[in-house]
Amino acid sequence: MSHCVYQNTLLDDIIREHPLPRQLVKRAALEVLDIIREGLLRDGSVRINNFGTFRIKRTAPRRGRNPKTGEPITIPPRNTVMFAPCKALREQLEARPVTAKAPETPRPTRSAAMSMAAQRTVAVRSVALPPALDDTQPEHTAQADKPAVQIDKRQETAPPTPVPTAPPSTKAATIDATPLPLAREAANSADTAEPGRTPNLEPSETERKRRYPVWLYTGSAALAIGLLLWQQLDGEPDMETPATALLSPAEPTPAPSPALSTQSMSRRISSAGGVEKAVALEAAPLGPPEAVTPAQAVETTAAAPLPSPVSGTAAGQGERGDTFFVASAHTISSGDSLWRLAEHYYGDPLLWPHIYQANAEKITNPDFLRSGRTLTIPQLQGPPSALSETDRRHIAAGYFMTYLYYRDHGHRDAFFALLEAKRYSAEVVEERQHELDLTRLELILLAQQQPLKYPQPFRR
Amino acid sequence: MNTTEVIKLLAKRLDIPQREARVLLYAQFDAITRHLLEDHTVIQRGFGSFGVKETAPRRAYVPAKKAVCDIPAKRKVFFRIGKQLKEALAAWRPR
Repeated sequence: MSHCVYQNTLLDDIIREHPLPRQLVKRAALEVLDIIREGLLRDGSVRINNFGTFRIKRTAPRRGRNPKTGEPITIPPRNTVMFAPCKALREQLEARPVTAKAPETPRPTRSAAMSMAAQRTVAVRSVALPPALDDTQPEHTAQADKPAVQIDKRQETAPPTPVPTAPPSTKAATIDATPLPLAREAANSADTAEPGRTPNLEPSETERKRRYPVWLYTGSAALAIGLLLWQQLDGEPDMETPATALLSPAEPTPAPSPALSTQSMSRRISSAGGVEKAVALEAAPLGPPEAVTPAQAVETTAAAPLPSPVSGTAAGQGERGDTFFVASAHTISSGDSLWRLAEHYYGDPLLWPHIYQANAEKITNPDFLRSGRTLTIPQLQGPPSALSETDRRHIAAGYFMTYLYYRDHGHRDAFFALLEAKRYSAEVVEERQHELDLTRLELILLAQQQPLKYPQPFRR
Repeated sequence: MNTTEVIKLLAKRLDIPQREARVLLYAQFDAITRHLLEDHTVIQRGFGSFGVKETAPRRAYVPAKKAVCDIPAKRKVFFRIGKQLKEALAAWRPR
């Protein structure tokens, strides 16, 4: 009757959400069906969370007639499969009124999906921003701390969940108050923090309605954008929180220097054994730096021991000239990630874009390293606590590359990467301003403005 | 068989960690769900097809209440078994 969808379309959909080799996705899809078949044969029923239950039903033999000759025959019993959709799916389907002729809804185009993703990024962002950061931290940790295998990214692309248990803080997001599957993620926590089940059961009409005011917002914000850009990219490398703005009405608050925050971050990370990265949030009020954590490209479970850093980085290299770390080479082996390499060689994982930037031609996806290749580990002129200007620009460039890559792949952390870039060197972002996608930047800047609803001090 | 078992098997066969297998599995069914919500028919060759059909409003008798009630029009998911799956299950017998 209507639009028929075949395997290829499904694969396209999956790849759009999780940029993965098509071959792998296809094999997985076929395996899943095989497994369901085997499960049916073994148990008679297979349940898929948040989708439904397949169950074999044996039909009873019955009498019938041969329609051609009219002679009575016995139709033998057979096995068929019944499918019972899960409650969420049923409710979503029933929520939409039945129309005599359902209007053919246009398939979500790529650009639409992207803009939706952008909106959701904003939602995440605005959740993170309110001053009461403590409330939102756990959720962020859940998202950010994930070991982030390459597929784990892009949680928000899946349409929003109707999960009623979405955290109340999400309601603060006024741009797009769509509840995110945060509750679920929190449950899945660190080891599995992937999109999990995002049943994305959502009638497209409501989605469209909800999107309409958003674009109205952005349209009216087109004027504000110039001002915002000036505020954001011109003077201060960091955004003022309302509190700091109130505290120092006369002079612009110096933003927390990146060096300082990275220092405290690395200290905390090392003291907590790299586990409690959440505490680093205090040091960097701007945004969760973990959000742009490079995923563990190859599984960290293997955790191959890294070769020891060249002659005890910190102390050894301190005397020799001004370089904190002398450039070296590293051959990627299983378990390596940029994050891990940076932690190992520089003592601060947050400097990973430095390596990314130096190996731009070898790495396309910062979350995915190919083992066997040799990377240059670029030199570091000063310790992570006092980065030199050149290093900072390199790192910012690395973060900027990450932003571009993430943005082009619809990664939800794109803006965090951009913010990080700005944190390390606002000039780099300014110079490459033409590469920014302003249509989406508007959204994020708007989101940043959200908490600033307190009266702004008058500035002369 | 439940989701966990499916994920475990999938991870084993594709030689990937379970959390990746989970993502792949859910991505697949989420994609199907999304299409179902748009009233598309999803066809998995050799397995079966999923679709949505609309039921007409009807009036039904509730024996427990001894009353007639109106059942509104609804959307229902149907699954039609595919040929290969049907043949594969032909030998199955309920315990």
